[in-house]
Amino acid sequence: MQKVKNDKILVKQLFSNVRYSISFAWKADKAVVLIVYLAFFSCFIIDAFYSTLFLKLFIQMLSENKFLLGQTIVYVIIGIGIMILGRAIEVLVENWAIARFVKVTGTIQREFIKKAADIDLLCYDQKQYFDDFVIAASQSDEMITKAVICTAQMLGLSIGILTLGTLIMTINPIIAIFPIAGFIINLVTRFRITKLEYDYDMEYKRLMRKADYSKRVFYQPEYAKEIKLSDIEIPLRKQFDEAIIEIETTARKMGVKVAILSLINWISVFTILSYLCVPLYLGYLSLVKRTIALGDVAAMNNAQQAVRNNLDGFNYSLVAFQEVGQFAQRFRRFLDYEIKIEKQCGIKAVPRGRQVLKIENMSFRYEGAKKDTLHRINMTINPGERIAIVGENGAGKTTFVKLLMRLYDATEGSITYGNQNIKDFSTEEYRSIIGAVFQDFQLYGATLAENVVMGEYSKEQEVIVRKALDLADFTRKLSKLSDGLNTEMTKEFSEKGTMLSGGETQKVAIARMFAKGNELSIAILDEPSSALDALAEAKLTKNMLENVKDASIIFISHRLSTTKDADHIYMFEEGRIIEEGTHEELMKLRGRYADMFEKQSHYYQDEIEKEVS
Amino acid sequence: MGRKANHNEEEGKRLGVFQSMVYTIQTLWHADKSFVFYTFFKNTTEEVFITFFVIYLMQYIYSCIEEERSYQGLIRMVLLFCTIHIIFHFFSAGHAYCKRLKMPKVYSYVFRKVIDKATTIELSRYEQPDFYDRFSKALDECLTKGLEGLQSLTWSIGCFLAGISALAIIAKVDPLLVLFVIPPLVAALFIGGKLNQLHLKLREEETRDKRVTEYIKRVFYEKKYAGEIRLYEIRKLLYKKHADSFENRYQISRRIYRKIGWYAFLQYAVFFGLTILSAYVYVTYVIKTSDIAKIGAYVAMISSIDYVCWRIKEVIRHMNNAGKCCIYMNNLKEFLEYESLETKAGERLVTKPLGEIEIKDICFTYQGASSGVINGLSLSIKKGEKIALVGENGAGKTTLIKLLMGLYPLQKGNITIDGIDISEFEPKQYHQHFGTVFQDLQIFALPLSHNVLMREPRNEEERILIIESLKKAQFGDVLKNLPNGIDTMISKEFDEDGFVCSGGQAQKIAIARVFAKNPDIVILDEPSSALDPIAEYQMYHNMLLASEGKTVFFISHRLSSARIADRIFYLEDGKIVESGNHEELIKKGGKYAKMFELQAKQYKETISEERLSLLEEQESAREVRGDAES
Repeated sequence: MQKVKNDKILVKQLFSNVRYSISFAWKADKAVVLIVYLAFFSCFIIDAFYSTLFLKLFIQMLSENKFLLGQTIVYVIIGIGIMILGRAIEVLVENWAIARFVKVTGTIQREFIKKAADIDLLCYDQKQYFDDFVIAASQSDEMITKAVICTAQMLGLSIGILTLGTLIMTINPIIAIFPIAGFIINLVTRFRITKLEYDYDMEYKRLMRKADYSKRVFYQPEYAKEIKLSDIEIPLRKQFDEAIIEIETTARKMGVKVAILSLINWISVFTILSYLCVPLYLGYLSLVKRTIALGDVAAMNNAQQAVRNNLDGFNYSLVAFQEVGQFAQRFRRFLDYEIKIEKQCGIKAVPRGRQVLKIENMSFRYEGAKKDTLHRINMTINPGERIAIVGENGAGKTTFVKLLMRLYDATEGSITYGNQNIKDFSTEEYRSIIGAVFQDFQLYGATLAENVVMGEYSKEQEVIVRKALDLADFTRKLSKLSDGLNTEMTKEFSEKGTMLSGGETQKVAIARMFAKGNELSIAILDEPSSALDALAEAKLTKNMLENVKDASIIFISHRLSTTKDADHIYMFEEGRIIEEGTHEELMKLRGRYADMFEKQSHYYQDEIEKEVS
Repeated sequence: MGRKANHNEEEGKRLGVFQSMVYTIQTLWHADKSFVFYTFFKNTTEEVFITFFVIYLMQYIYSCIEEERSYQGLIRMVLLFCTIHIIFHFFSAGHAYCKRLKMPKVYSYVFRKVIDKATTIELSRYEQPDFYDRFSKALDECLTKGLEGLQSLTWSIGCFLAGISALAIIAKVDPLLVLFVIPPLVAALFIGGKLNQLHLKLREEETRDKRVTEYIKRVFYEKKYAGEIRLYEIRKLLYKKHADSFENRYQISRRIYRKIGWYAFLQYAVFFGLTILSAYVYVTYVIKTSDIAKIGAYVAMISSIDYVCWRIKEVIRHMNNAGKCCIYMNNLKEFLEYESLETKAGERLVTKPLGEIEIKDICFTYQGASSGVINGLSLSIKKGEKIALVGENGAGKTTLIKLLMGLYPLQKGNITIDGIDISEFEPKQYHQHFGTVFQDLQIFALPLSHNVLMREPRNEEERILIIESLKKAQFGDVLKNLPNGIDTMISKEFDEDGFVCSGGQAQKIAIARVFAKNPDIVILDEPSSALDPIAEYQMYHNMLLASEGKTVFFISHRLSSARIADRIFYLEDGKIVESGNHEELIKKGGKYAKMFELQAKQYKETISEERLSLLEEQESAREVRGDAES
């Protein structure tokens, strides 16, 4: 999986990518793909005949006296009747397809998000994967729809061109030269213009981001205080002005080039080839050479304009085609990504009851990193043990717990649970025995109860959910919520949704663990009390220890007061365990831990001394 | 035309659309006159010319051929028109160039207005939950929409004029032919209105489910959810919601698009069936029954009717689009015309360092909240005192600080400093005397030096000050490793090599700001929450050293920091329930003491369970008494 930049993709690949996208839509809904193709196909044929053959015959019937009034009218009615039929098909299919595409988009989107949920977490945590991978996948549904539409358009346009071309050839092949020459000039200049516009667009976006950043800062509530209290607005305004000047400079440089190319394109393709040469040539044929009649002139004139329009349309479709082809390259990679951890079925069942979790000689290194994030970690966690992990920011604590949850796999060494390597278990089953409160815990757009059980909630679970929330010290807030457990969380779906503060959200996240009940064998808390005040923290710690007694608890904390009571404390530094033992042992050791503890309790310490004396 | 286009909407709204169009043009006119003028000129004249170019020339050519006029005449006419056509290409290319060039100018004009306004809007307005939705999101779009509105509006006018010109040409050939234009005009107005209604209905009905599906999609692609999604089973619930909402969206779309489809079909039927078909029949009848040989002219006229019908549709489509776009500009108008309370702020300058603070019986309630955050709070603080504000979440500590800084208007009571009411001070200058580290501190995508000084350093002295401040704030080690020192760009927003700081590092930069500013009053709102213990200890130590003689406010959950304060205020429900220094409060055995004991317990070996339960009993006894009294 190398990094995908705006790399050049071979034409062959481009086609294969578009085909891939279409086959995706085909799988999702065959009918819509088929009907869209058919509709485009039939409409362009009808259009081609209407603007040329129908007109030619009509003029012929008008000018020759052998055709009677009635006959001509019948001809007109039939001709226009077919036209109306064509339009009816077009407009009804179009609106049917728009609705149907909503469904297709849903199906495709779901397939992609399911895959996204299975992609190993590493792809999210490493920028190069995230940008190329996840972002690309998030736009796949639009691109797939675009693939169907642009290819259907190309098909329709080519059919239209073929039909018109045949008609022109039967009357006067020379006329065909003009639209074809126009197409070639158009292709060349348009290609140059598109490229220039693309480059400009990139530059513009880059510069605009700078300007937009300043603008955003000015009205985002979180920045408001800082803006009001300081002079930071001066450099921000300056940054904005600089960006604007840069945009102007690029626009000036680019604008002239584009203007010249556009003029060449318009003057040659539209004015000269289409509106000057064709009428003059047709006029020459009919007035000087006297070889063609008015009907042919009108039909020819219309036909060549229609061909040119179709060719133009084809050009635009090509741009879309190229875009889809390039984009599909990325989401193909996404779908082809070989999942290493998620969805693994496992060869062994997770042993029942609480087991020993053992980490042996485990190292972990991010792909492309120069050194290990974790280096040769050894740890044994007995059932019911309370393990504290302490250390400075960036010591590898969070990475370590992610490995325990099998969100990452160790680069070296192993983790065993009940003497079985955790890689041998089904990932889903193994994770079901783990409860975790992450540092960046989230609240989801669902009811409170669903946010606690983290799945569908049924009435029978009420007791469990209430108890879990109570243990997490959420009862007081719960009593204030009008809909109780069924209160809609977050304002994502409607303004009526309830927002919770950081501390309250954390309590819900903690309740999730309590709700796991007996299943819970390993509880992991990454800085669980950072958003809580002292009273809530004390209550929570007490509840944790009393209610998940049999499960092992692993917690990461800055506050050594919380970690003090742990059965075993590990001090991490630069990915290694530098000290371990109980609080007393570590204090006796007089090492980094003791140092940290003393500094932190410095202010409390005086108090202790006073009380002792 | 605006009226016709929106005839289906109620009177008030119709006026709103018209007014917003006027406002859009006014705003753009002020931003750049030449651009608005050029756009009007180009889009209107071009459409009219094209009409003559397409219709008149076609008719001329057909007639020439039919009547077998001279070829030279034909050449002259075609050449003349093509020359004018080329001139118009120059107008077009010039306009595209002009637009590209003027866009940034227009953008910066609006930007300046927005930020000038934004800096005067009071903070409480910012913190209302709908603020971001109503202004920020809307303002992002308003300018592009405004420009699109101008384009559409001018096109619509151009198409209208083009339609009129085409009708004149048709009338010259045969006035009766003009009648054929009426049905599509009526149909376009009636069906256009209906279609608009249906689209509006679709948007309304779809809103909720669309939000659901977009939210769920986001959850799966956003990094912050990735861990939990994998560990818990919530994804199954989300898949189900996603599928349900998409099914709803499909059902709604199907129902409404079926109607839209039939109306659109009706429009085509009127267009082709009534107009084109009858025009053909009429032309056939005229040619076949009379002797006039004007086939060329009449055939050209059928195309012209087609052209006029198409123009009518365009006029209405563009006008609707212009209306839709211009409505966005109302957001800008609303924002710029928002009556801010702060503009009434005082003008008095702070002449000497801020000293004694006197807060008397102040109250404050957030807009829309049922109960007050600050309820009749009074306190007085001497210059140079170190004050700790403690209390549970939501007790009003941060609000009190914001009131002191004049960020919210007081609803009752007053705050004076050295006997002067703070509302008399000129806000900008008043704020200069505070150094604050907020809970939700922000780091800007600017060089490190700007982030510390909060402006560009002007000379070498200031650069040294920045470095010193960073060192005092424990940022020295990091600074040493930054390749460009204090000129390093912060965040990767604009610079690939920008420095991304962790929460703790961001906090250190915010603390460095206070050191660099050297204010009279220092406010630290939970300054240590993201710091590890060693950094926290050192930070307090430095802070105390640096704030010698200054008034300092601490807000902290960790009472260890409260201990160093000269006075501690314990807040509850927006009132001060206990005050005094640490020893006094511990002796008192009240709420503070209980909170402190709880925290200190972890560090102390000696504290007994009995003492804690005793405290709890005292607490509940007091509560019971309190209830009885009330």
